[in-house]
Amino acid sequence: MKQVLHPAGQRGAANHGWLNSHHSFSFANYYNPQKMNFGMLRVLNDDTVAPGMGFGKHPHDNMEIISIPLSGDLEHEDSMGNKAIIKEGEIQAMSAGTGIFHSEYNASKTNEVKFLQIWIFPREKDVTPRYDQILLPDLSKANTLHQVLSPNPDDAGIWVHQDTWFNMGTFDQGKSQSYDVQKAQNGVYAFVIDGSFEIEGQTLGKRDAIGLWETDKIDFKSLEAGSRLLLIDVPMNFN
Amino acid sequence: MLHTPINFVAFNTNAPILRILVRILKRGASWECIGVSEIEKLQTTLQNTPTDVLVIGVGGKEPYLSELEAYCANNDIHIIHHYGGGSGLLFNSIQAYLDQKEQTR
Repeated sequence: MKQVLHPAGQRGAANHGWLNSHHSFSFANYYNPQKMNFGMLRVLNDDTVAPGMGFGKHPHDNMEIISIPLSGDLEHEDSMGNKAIIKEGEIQAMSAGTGIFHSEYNASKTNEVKFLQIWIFPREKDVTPRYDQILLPDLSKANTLHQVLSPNPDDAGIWVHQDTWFNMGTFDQGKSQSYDVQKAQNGVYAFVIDGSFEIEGQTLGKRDAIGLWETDKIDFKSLEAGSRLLLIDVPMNFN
Repeated sequence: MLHTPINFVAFNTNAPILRILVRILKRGASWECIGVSEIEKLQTTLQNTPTDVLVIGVGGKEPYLSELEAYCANNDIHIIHHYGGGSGLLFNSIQAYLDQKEQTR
């Protein structure tokens, strides 16, 4: 098994006032050639947006873009006519394909919104753009990994055009669990949303991450009550 | 990065996105950019325009793509396969190109 550790404090940081963003990988003005991607995972931005503020209309193409609100509500509008509020407990996916314009604003005039924005390289380019959002399973049910994203429209969670699986879960202190990697040649990027975990011998705190590959199983243990983990299972190679 | 002279050609069949890309790729003090939306015309543009970097977005289909890659390899033109549509990843790709150029100097 190979691994790469990404401590929270070593992420790229950009505070624009209305937006406070931490970049796990090179993005915008943050450039670190050692942190360009983890396999097909290209972007993991940990964003906090001030009340009423947000990202104005802008384009995307050829990228699978997933947003996971951690607290607060996001107001989404796009060039396909979708207009929606995405709340904590939901997940949004856009397949940008041949091109889409969208805006994302904090729907609240009084509270911040915190969300993860994740970009995955698509399995195939120039697909028809699509937008989807779903209510996640009850993630408060402790000590269970919930699949929240997959490549299969008929499977649990939302789907995207890539052989990637996302799992999330909240764990009590001392709980151990294993995760089976979904596909040969995939790796797993484990991102600690809250609390702390021991993952394959490494202790990780809030917003720390570890990338693991050349393995078919990941072992982890929660080190404190209410620890939340996101596992991103992605192909490691362009094929 | 913004002060290094770079001649770009940007290709994208999505016209609104191409317009934005061209605007971004003219942001540098010494950056020039020509936008092309038809892949059939891309090689002719490259032949007639001094080009350092070809940015390929939506619509980069075969067999044109393989021919372009061969042409660029033979003419010292760097290709950026641009994903994401806007500037989020573009400057990273340009910086990576400049780093590579510096290392091979």
